[in-house]
Amino acid sequence: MLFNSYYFLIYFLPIVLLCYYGAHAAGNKASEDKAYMWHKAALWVLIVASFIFYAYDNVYYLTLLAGSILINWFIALIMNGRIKSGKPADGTNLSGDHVCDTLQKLILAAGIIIDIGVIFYFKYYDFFIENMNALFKADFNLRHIVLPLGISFFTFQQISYLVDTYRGETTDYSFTEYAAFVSFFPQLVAGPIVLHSELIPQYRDRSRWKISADRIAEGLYVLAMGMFKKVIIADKFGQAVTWAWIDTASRSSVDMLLASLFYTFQLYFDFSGYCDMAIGIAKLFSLDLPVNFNSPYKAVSINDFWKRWHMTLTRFLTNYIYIPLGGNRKGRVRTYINILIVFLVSGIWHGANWTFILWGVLHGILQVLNRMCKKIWDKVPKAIAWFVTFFIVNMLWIIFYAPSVSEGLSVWVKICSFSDMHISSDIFLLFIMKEVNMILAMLGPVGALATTYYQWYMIMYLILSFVICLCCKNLHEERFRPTVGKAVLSALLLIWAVVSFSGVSTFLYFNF
Amino acid sequence: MNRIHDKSGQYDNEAGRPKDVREGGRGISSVAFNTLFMLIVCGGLAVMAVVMAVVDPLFHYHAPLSGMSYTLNDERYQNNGIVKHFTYDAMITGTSMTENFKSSEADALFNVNSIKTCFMGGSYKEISDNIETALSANPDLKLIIRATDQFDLISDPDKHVSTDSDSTFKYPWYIVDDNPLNDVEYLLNKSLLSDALTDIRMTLSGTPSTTFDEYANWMSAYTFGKEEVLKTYIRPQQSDLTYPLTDEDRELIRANLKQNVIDQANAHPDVTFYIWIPPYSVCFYDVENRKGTLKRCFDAMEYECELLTGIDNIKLFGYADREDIVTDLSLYKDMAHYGEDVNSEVLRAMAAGEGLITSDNYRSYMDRVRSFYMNYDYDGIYE
Repeated sequence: MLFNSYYFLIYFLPIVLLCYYGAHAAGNKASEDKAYMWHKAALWVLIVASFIFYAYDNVYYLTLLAGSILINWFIALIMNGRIKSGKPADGTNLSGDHVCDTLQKLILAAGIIIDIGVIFYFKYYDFFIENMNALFKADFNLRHIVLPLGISFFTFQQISYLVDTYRGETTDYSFTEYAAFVSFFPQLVAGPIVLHSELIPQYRDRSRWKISADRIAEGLYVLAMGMFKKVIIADKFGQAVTWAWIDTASRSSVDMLLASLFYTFQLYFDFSGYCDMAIGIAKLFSLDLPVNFNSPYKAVSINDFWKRWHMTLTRFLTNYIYIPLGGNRKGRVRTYINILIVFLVSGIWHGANWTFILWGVLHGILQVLNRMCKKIWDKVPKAIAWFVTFFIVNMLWIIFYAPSVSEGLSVWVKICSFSDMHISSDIFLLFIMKEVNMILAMLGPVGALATTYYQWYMIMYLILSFVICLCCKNLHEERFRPTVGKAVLSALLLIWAVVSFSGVSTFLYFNF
Repeated sequence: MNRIHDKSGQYDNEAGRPKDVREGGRGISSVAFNTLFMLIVCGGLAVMAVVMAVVDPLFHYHAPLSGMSYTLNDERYQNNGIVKHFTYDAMITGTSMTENFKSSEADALFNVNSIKTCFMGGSYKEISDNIETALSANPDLKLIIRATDQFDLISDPDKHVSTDSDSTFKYPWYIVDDNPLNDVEYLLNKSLLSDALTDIRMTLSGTPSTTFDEYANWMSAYTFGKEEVLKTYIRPQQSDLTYPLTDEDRELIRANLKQNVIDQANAHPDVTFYIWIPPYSVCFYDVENRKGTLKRCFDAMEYECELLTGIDNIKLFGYADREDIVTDLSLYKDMAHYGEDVNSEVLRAMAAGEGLITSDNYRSYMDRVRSFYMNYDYDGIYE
């Protein structure tokens, strides 16, 4: 189920909120013992809702999610020694009283191998076979497995849980809490990658069992803004990106340069919009999710960019790969190698294609160069540093989007050759907004002029995107203050987004 | 670098507002924010839904309002509502081969009050489903004029544009099905709101509704003639092989016609079905000939005739033997699509009983067709 769908927003979310707070409200009126039962019921509301949310698109993959939760929970139980003792752990569970450290390591390794194995099978099996076939001139069959939604997210989340269990950082979580943490639907399919230590204590915080007008207000505001970013901005850029990449050979250099810029904005508004929606929806449940984007296109270096882009992934890779590898504690060369490894993993994580791997490696190399030349780079004027960073990030997104490395490289060559400087008129047409035209039509001659020279739509989209990315404060940058202006603006933007969920699809009859 | 705000301790829940809410004097309480937000969102969406339900540009809930002007411009969005709520006793349907029909001509020739609900590129199933809806909704329906395209004759009975993997078209099931929950996709849809506002503007400016003569009629949008026709395809190389109509093909034809035509006719004996086979141009048969599928094509047509004749309430018509039409490329815009003059002639001929195919004459009809197309000088087209 998508956040930006009628079913989610009009039926699913209100019903789940009603059931969740209904259970808590019943608990608040009950005795202490029963209050705990009602709290547990509220968590089960979340679990069931999350499973419905996940199963909406493909009911078969529900077994994958449920199985993954059960297996990881079971492995964590063994590590915690709770299975052996038959009692809940007391928080000092990893002292070796129950299970020796070597065995702990083996169990942890087994858990991680199972998790990685599941990801490998569903996400990388065909990619691996394709490369084996190409390398050894073999002819192994591909399986064309449909990638289960969010598998990379909930698997990484559970790997972090297993590692933290090994480190003794998990405590006496119940299965209900664990299942509610992993499956929590706002973050289930596209992050942010939440840690158990962030979410489960919030489940237990009794102050969050009541409806909070403050959190609802912030949640509605952030949800509306995220919806606007995704539906009105990102999807419009997406149409132009799809158009450009359908036939790159017949596009001009400027077309593809613009397309790269469109994708840069599409990706940001799509992903950060989704994360804003996730954060906003979680707030409606009185829960705070970590911030995932901090105005990444304001970055003045690649290093800075990665502190602002997909921050919870960066945190995961830092805590669970970079630091265990030694981080920056083993000398300069090892630090650089560790950085490259982290970015290689990041590239692989993003998808089963050499394009992602190349993209990750290039970012890793630039990150290393950034570190090596930090003193010089810091002296570069900020405007130039920003421009260079933005340009590099933009160019690397081309490889990220390209269906193959060769096609990505050919687009790079096309852009850099400046061989054809005309802009296709189709690009401008793709940005026309029927609803805005409708309003303009009521404005008389000025409106007519604006609809005639429709090119301004694309120009406005670009200007608006640069302004939002570079001049506006991040939604999460400062404390939310409810105002009349924010209420009106966010409500109108949400209405605009909702009525844009379902357009009129045009049937193209190519035989006609 | 910008600092991400630390969320801890920012709320004063009991007061229902942020601690610093009065700073600057422009803040409101969270309760007021939530109330205002929900009022605007729910109010705005409710107003829109009411406008949509009242105007109803797709006729999903009711017939056209008296005194209101409507645009008919999207078959797959409007045909379902048209057959459910319009007043009529005859319908014209089919693919793009039927879009240039004028219902006014059918009304005069057959003494009926007809509607036209065509589906560009529609499969047998999609057209059949729309007819079924019409039959269920309208007991007055007595005459159905329907084309059966050769394009889709040998195909899965359940073929539908919504499951066509090559199509990016998202089928508007929320208009077609009976699920009230997905009506939100109609009621809260900016594109369809735009259609509703257009209808309101038309009404205010006194512009009349689109007629069924105009609905989906593409006559004025194209240029016709031999030059145009020859631009639309590349003549294939002559195939050395010929491809017969296989048993599997025959089974597909049988299942397709049974499910989407014959069963429907048998279930509604009081309704007369005028089924007719559209006359594609000689260029179409030239391509079939070059591909080695001409015999297969006519064997399929003959099997269709065999299956559809002998049913009391089906009158089958064929015009592939009308040399005056199929060889006159000035009537066509491509190898198959003809202009409205041919549609008018087909209506006239059907009303006059010309071209009627019966169980007694279908073999001689097919003999004439085969004889003409198999001996036609196709090279002459290109001279």
